Amino acid sequence: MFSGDMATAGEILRRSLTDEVGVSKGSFSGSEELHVLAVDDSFVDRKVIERLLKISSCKVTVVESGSRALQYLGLDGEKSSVGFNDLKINLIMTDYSMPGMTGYELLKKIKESSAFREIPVVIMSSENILTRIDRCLEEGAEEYIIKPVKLSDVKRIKDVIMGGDGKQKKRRSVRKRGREDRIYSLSPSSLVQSSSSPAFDFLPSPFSTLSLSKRPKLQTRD
Amino acid sequence: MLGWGVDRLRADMSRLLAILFHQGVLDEQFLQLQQLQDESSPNFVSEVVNIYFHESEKLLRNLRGLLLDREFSDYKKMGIHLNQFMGSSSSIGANRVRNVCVAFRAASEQNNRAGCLRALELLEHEYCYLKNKLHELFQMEQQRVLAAGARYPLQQQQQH
Repeated sequence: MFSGDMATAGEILRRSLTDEVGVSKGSFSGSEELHVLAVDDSFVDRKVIERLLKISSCKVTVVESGSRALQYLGLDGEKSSVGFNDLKINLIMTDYSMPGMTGYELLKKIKESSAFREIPVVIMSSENILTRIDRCLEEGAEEYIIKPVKLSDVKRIKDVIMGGDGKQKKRRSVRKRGREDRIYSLSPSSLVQSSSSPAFDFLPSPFSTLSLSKRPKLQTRD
Repeated sequence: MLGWGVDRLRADMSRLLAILFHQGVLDEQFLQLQQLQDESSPNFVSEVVNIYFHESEKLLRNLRGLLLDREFSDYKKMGIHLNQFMGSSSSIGANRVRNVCVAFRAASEQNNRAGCLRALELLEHEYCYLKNKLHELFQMEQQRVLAAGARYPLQQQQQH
């Protein structure tokens, strides 16, 4: 009934050795399709994100949990002589609030892995909580998007990833949608990954892309 | 006569959608879903919405089951269901349902059982309304597709 690319729990397979070997380092050569791994516990959201990505000409693998994602990437601790060099994932998009392993925990595990830490990770969440956003960006998330995710979000992310050939594109300042800001990122992304300073100041700085005219509504939950 | 039906149906659908947007029942995210529908995925909207209905009814049953239990105290569990309901509603553009979930969650965080019961009633009402209207919309769409097929009999002849 649904398109065959959606990977359910029983259908996740590791690529065989005979597949094209290439080290996935997150950089994009430009000639192939972007392969995105999407992680979300909501069936509705999985369907939507899969469609958003496919319509944007991306190859998509969708899984329902952080542990499934790690399994897919080969990071689940299962000893394998093959290693994960045959997987080519260019982007990971994960929901934040998931039972078991949150998107934040998944992000940490990915950033701790030598094989996959270069892969950009985008966090999606319906919650506009500044401390949460802060934490994710500091941990190395490429972006934190407020749900619902739209075509324009996917297009923008795709442009950023595919344009990342060392030359940092000037990031647009945060778009306003309705009353609140929806997209958070720190530019340039290399700053996020190499940062050792404890607290990112979201106030005026050359690297901040948070719009200042409309501060997001601070929520005390979480 | 059937050709006239297609235009009429299209106008009726537009009108219904306009009303639903005006009432805040649906928001722009629903339009986004429609943009994701094309020849390669011609039933995308109804597929997603049907998944949403299925999941929502499960969540509503869970919420009702929790609240009507005399010994109910697990507000945290209720919050989890509500977050799921909020998220999926927002993803399909079910704006009013989502807003009721927000209010419901607030009552739940205050351990306000009476407030939760009221919110549940309102939630079920809003959900019912949404479901009826979307069914109406999908029915009109089906009729429109059928009528459009009959409008061009030449194409059907080619099938013989």
